[in-house]
Amino acid sequence: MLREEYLFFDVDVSTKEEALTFISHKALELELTDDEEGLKEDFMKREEEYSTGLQDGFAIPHAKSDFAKKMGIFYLRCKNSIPEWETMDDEKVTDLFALIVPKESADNRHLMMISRLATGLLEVEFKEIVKTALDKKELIKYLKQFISKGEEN
Amino acid sequence: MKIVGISACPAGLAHTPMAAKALEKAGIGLGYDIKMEQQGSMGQINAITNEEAREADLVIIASDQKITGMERFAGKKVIRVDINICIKAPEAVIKKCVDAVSK
Repeated sequence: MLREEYLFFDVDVSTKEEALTFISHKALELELTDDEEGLKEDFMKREEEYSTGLQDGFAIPHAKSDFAKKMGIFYLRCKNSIPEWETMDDEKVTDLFALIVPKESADNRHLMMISRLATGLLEVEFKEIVKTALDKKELIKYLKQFISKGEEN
Repeated sequence: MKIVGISACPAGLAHTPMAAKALEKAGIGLGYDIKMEQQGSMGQINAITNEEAREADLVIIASDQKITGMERFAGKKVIRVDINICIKAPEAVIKKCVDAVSK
């Protein structure tokens, strides 16, 4: 669900649509979906409900989709910001966690890990470590540790 | 002051747990007894019992979604708030809600 190949640095996108296209295309390459267009549609639909932009440059686009075969968490660090992505504090989006989740998923262990990751985005330290990580191996280790810690606090 | 609440969002993946955690943390920080139920992709998490609902002075619904089990809060002061605001400014949300029921 969280692997080194799911981390992308220096991603060259400047609109929301480009970002979701990138994510869906990678999901196809990495065999998380067989239908990148369908998956992208589902990401777009969720964005239409209300923006998944958060604070401090983060966004958390997600799709519970019939087109998702497996659960996956992608991290994208963009080369440039994505100004059109509406956020809570009006900071421009630069860092994305994209959640790809099969529609009828009842995999509570993995859903709990997603939940843990999402609440991490409330923590200054978590955001700082993610944004500044230089090494994918280190980052994946940190993320795995973080999301498996559970809800002890 | 005892506060209970429920968070729910369209997919039930990200904003639901974020809002619940943000409100709980802010509530504790302000010295209140607070418990947030999540109605998300895993069903009900940290569910509010009938007894907890009965004892609550204030019910915060952080959602524009349909909430199940609202009958638990019959006769209670229920305030609905935007889930994004709960993530962005949880302390302000709690203060405002407390003010509203204290009048």
